[in-house]
Amino acid sequence: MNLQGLVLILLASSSKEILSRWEQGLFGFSPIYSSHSFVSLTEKLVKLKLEVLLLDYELPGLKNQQSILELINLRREIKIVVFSPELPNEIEWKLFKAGVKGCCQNNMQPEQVRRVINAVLQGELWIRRTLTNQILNELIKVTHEKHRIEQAVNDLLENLTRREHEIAMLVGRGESNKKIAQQLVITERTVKAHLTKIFRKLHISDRIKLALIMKDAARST
Amino acid sequence: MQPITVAVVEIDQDQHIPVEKFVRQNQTNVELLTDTRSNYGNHVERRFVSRNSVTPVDNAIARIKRLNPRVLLVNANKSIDEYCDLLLALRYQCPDTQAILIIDETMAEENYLLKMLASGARGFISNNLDSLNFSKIVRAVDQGEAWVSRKMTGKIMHEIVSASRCESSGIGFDSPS
Repeated sequence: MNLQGLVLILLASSSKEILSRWEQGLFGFSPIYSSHSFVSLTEKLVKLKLEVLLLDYELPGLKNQQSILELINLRREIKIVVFSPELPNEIEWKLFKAGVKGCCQNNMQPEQVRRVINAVLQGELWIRRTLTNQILNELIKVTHEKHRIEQAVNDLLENLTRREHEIAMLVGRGESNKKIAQQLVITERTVKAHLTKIFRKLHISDRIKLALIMKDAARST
Repeated sequence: MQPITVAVVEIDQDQHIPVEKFVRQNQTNVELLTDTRSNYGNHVERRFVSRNSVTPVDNAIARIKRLNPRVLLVNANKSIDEYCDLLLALRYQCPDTQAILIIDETMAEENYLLKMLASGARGFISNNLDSLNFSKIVRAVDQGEAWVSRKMTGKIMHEIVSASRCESSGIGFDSPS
């Protein structure tokens, strides 16, 4: 995707110098909005269907990663690029883990800003090469943990009786107790009794968790 | 400066990696390791191809351990599931060896690459790379950098962020009371 297309971009900084550089980089393209404080930024995020946010890490009202998580929760699909003075690796890493798509120095030249936007719009990450090793290490850790949980779930699911497994599968498909009872030709009370046993065996407390576990198990097989 | 030792592993591949093309003549910073005591005859480069009595992965690991290269080029022109086992074994048995996948960019699937990176590969390069870039990449990986495209880092980060969102949303088991 190129910036020639219609892309809604929001520039959030209180620094005229930074805003001017960003605007030069994005000259001639897209509807561009700007915010000078965290409060007005959140308001615009709610109102507008923004795709890209260029965010000055020193924006008044912004409190480190927590604020960025709030922004992402307001609009999950937004691609945030953070501009800041040089940050330590661990801070930058936390920003990426929160979901930002790029970290750049706030004195970045306009042409380079344009490249960054194009890259993140294409699903790329704008990240320092020194951090990519950390990404791979984290991927290994996350994958290992995923396999461990899958194995633990499978072990626990093996403890279910055939009937319990049947009921768990139906819960996974979103069926109500009434529907399950009708389908299996048993009473609702029996379904509830089975569910109590299933919850105990799987160490969970409600059917939502059971449904999620069954969906995950179905996906991994 | 000691040259960076490089070896090649290939299991069930239709075409060899043209390593000689990558390693320029008179290039002193990369040394290609080969085992010429092979049963394939004298002066014939012996690559990590399989023998019948052991699994291809065990066989490859045994040879990698013997050669102990700093960088291992994994011929992944053809997607092979055994490579995941090889990379996992490599992490535990040869932790000082960094693996780079050599792929055919027109064929390689993103999900396969992701699986290989999750198993321990430190990056991937195209099989039509020039020798200058090759030695640059080998040096970078040897120094602990990863060599993946920006696009792939985007995909990897998506996996990581999704996993941590699942974790923080509390999906999982309740702690036993």
